[in-house]
Amino acid sequence: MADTIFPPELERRISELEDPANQGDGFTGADWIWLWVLGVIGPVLLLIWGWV
Amino acid sequence: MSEESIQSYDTVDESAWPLLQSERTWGQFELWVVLLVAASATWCYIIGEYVGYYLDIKMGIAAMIAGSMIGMFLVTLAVVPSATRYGIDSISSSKPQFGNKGWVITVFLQYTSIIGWNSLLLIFFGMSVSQLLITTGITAEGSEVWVIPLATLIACVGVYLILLKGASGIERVAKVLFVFIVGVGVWMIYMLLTNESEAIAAAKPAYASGSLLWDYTTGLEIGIVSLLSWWPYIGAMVRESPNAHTATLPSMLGMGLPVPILSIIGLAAILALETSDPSAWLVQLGGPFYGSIALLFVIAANFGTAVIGVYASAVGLKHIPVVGKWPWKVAVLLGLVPVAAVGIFAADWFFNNFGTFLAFIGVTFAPLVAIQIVDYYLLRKQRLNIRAMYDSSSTSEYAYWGGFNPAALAAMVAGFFTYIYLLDPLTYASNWPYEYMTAALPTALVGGVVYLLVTKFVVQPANRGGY
Repeated sequence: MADTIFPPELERRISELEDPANQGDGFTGADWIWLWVLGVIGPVLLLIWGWV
Repeated sequence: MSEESIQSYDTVDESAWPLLQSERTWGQFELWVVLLVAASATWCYIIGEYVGYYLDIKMGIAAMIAGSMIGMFLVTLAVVPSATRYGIDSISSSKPQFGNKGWVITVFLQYTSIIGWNSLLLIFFGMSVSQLLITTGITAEGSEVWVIPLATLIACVGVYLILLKGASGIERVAKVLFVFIVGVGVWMIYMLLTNESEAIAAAKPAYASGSLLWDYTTGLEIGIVSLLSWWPYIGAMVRESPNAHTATLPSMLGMGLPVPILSIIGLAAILALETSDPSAWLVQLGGPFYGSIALLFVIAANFGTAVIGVYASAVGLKHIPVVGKWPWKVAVLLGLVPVAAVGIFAADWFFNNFGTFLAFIGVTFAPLVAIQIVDYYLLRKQRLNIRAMYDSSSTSEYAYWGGFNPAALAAMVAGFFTYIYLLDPLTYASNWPYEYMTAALPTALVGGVVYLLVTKFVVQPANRGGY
């Protein structure tokens, strides 16, 4: 891998993004709560409501 | 030298290269607008129609919303964290799992599914333009024969011209269409539910199987697979935002919720009026004036979504070395020409096979999202090698064996057979335990487990994949 030569612009982008400080953060705790409420708990409750 | 060295683009968002933090300027509002416009299109009516074949209004609404949110949950988990961490699209996000040559599989899936959806949109676009011209007296009955293909062609030209400006063209179009789409969409639901409430409440689904559980599960299945088809779209959009937090709610509520909400229109229409095609009932229900406004809604919504779909497929195609060399406008054309061909020459054939198209999405995208979730969260602990993603050489960490990861291939095959066993895409004949589990969710589960096992027992012991 080390001997692969990228064009300068792509190399610049990759080098910058290899630094964790320049990467986007992942989901926060609140995001995970929203994801589970909207993607799992909410659908289960909806399915129960639709069935009864 | 890497194949990406010869990639041609005018601006970086017209390439498959990663976007830097400083270039990812879309906040939550911009993402909400773009993702909502992407999701709000006439496919909602045909999704609602399919659910209305099996379920009444209450169960249909519950199954569609639940299924859609589950599908969106899976797609969001699979793509958003890696796309927003590294500024990459859906195709790049699949390179760590499929290999630095195996990603062509995901390009094929993206290209096929977006062509399918865009064909549906532009067919509806042409039908709505035709109906609008007849309603306003500009053309006479019978003009559909030439208006529909001509309108489809004009729409393709319009999409092409907008996309010459790349992602900035999308954002501008989305902001213009946003208020119109939301406002008229809500009004259409209100009009339908109030004017036809008794007929909707009394209607019985036309193709109910006799098993309420089977029908309910099928409504849920349609919701799930419909939203799994956002996989190809979402990466190219959320990579314009700086982090996963910015994209979470726009993804779940901006892209996930509008589909089942607007699908209520198709569900209610098929139950009460026995047709989901808005161009067929809008004028009858709303009169010429309001009917014309609603037809304009259909035209605008479909156009906006087609722009975003072609953009996402063009970005995906730029990964292919030979396409990467070509100018951006050629990549856009590659995404548009098949759509125009289907819309003009094979519209009826495509409409008649829509159910099979949906099943194709479930067969392919259910294992795909599971593979990405297992790989990103369980195996790689949320860290990818951005350099290896763009390194097409045999020494790349993602070269695996000949550029292909056998774990991903095995998981896709296992997922394919799982789905086919549970639900035949052609006949909709099913096998146990489909009625208790759907087909897409077990397919995702099997795909994810196979990927995990093959990685643990084959790939990692061979020291491949950069684990």
